[in-house]
Amino acid sequence: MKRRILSLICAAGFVTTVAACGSSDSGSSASDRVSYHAAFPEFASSDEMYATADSVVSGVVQPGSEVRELAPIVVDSDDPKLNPQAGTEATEEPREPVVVTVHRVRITELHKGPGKVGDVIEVKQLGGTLGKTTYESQETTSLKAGTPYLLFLNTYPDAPASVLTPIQGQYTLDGQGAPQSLPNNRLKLTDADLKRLDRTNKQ
Amino acid sequence: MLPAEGVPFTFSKRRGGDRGIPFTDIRTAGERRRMRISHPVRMIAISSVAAVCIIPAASGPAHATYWSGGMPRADFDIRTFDYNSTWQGPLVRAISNWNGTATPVAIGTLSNSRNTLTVKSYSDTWYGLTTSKGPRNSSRTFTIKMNSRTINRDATNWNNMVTRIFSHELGHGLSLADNPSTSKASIMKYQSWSTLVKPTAYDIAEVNRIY
Repeated sequence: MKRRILSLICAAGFVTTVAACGSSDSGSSASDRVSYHAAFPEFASSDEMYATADSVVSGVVQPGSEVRELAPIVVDSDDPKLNPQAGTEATEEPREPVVVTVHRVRITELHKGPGKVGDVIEVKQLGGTLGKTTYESQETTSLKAGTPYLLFLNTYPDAPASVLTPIQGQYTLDGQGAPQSLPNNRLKLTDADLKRLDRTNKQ
Repeated sequence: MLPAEGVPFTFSKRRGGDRGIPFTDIRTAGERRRMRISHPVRMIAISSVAAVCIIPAASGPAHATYWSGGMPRADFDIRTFDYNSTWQGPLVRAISNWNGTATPVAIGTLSNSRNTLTVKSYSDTWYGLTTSKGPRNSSRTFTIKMNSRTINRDATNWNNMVTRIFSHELGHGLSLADNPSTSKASIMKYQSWSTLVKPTAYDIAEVNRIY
């Protein structure tokens, strides 16, 4: 009888352990995990993406990143499209900032935009761990320290730059410096494309 | 048609629900005796097989377009929002469009809902952002943020784009993932943000499959 009880305890413990590893959306730890799902533009061509970007840089991600909260901007405008609360009584909204991870990128080649080779710029990505809560972005492929990237960026006066889209806006650079698309990026950008876009931009 | 604020929902449509199938043990008494387990190793082996079989079933449909961050049911509410009429119209239209589909979807507004919508300007590149919190099987809530900055920058048909972005984010609440691997049209794709407004036949079929 004792042996049988021991068997049941062992089996129950084993199943619980396997279940905890295999399930991400249930269990007591789930409240400390928050999922982000974001909608982004999609570009039909590298020309369109290059034209939209404020800045296009090749650079190496520096060690150490920082998780921050991105608060919304207060828009004081009477234009109802720019300010959704223009003409209405301000309603209390939940204070829930967006959590981002800020990386530092040292520029190795400047294709478009302000700055120069050797500058270090800040680039943010959705998600990160803040306190005891991990915010996981479904679309984001985290930038890795020490890795060279080609980045298509939007820049802001009040916040770190953002990659135009997490799928199409970031490329690792191979040993020859050629951009490599993420697996789910249908936009295949070649080194020749990039050189052509750079030439056009400088004209 | 949205229910009036604060009015409890009435559901005329079928609801998503427990699809568990009751079973009957058809083994003979002899077979049941032979199935008795008394050895720890055998017990663990059988348990591990059971775990492998049970966990995927418990974590939801295994399909490329399914997102486990969605709500457990297709009938849920969102906190009453009150933006100016320029925004309010296309936002309400997104809810009406989902509620008008032949699905169990029934989205209402309630003043004390824990699910929220915020429309503000963010210094970032996304149009909309859905945040999902809590276990799906108990206290799941979501927040939707819409970025007026990027919408105003990129809209070629402003009203359509506002409706589309909100419809897309509500689609996440309905467990639909981004960019489904299909050639069919879908509001969950990162395409046609200012033209494709209503949930498509594909989106409707996916919601009916999930709920």
